[in-house]
Amino acid sequence: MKKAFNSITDLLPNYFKTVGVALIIISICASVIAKLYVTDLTIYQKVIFKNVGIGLIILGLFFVAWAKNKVEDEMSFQIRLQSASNAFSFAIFYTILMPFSSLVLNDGELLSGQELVMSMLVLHLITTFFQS
Amino acid sequence: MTNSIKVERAKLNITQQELADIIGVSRQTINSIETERYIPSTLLALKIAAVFKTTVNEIFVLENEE
Repeated sequence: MKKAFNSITDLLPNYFKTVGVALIIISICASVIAKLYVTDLTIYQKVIFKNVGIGLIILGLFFVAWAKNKVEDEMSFQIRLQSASNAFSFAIFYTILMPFSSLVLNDGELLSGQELVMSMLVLHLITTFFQS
Repeated sequence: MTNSIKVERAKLNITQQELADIIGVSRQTINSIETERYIPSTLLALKIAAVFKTTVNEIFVLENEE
């Protein structure tokens, strides 16, 4: 009998976990160093650097979240599915509810698309970790 | 659903890791099944039963309220 759960999970190879962690660390370190030591940037350059940094962090989180475990089996698949479902539900409810809450609280601050995706990936990783 | 994997393992004198290696799953999965935190698929239940040379019904038992 074929492994049913493998046919619907095209995950990245295990070494992408290391690549992802490295990307996150490099991005955070580069952002901190740039913030401390690079002062003569135009607004245009700052926006580009910020977006590239956030993009690399998101890519790193994605690699960590979507890389295979050393032993990938049906339980890890179920945990992964549950965590992805939680993260997706969080995004849906956040998108629906937060505009109203910001009206009530009068702060007007909403997560950007990048921050929302990052939050989803972090939530996915946290729930995967605690369910494993 | 209860199961007697721990007892069967003790009879064969194999560890969770050894059983996991034979079946091709992680040790955490075997541990979760033993502690009844995870209910395995039919395929995995059949593989476990085959290792212990018995039937699925002998290892996995439904409780009264199920």
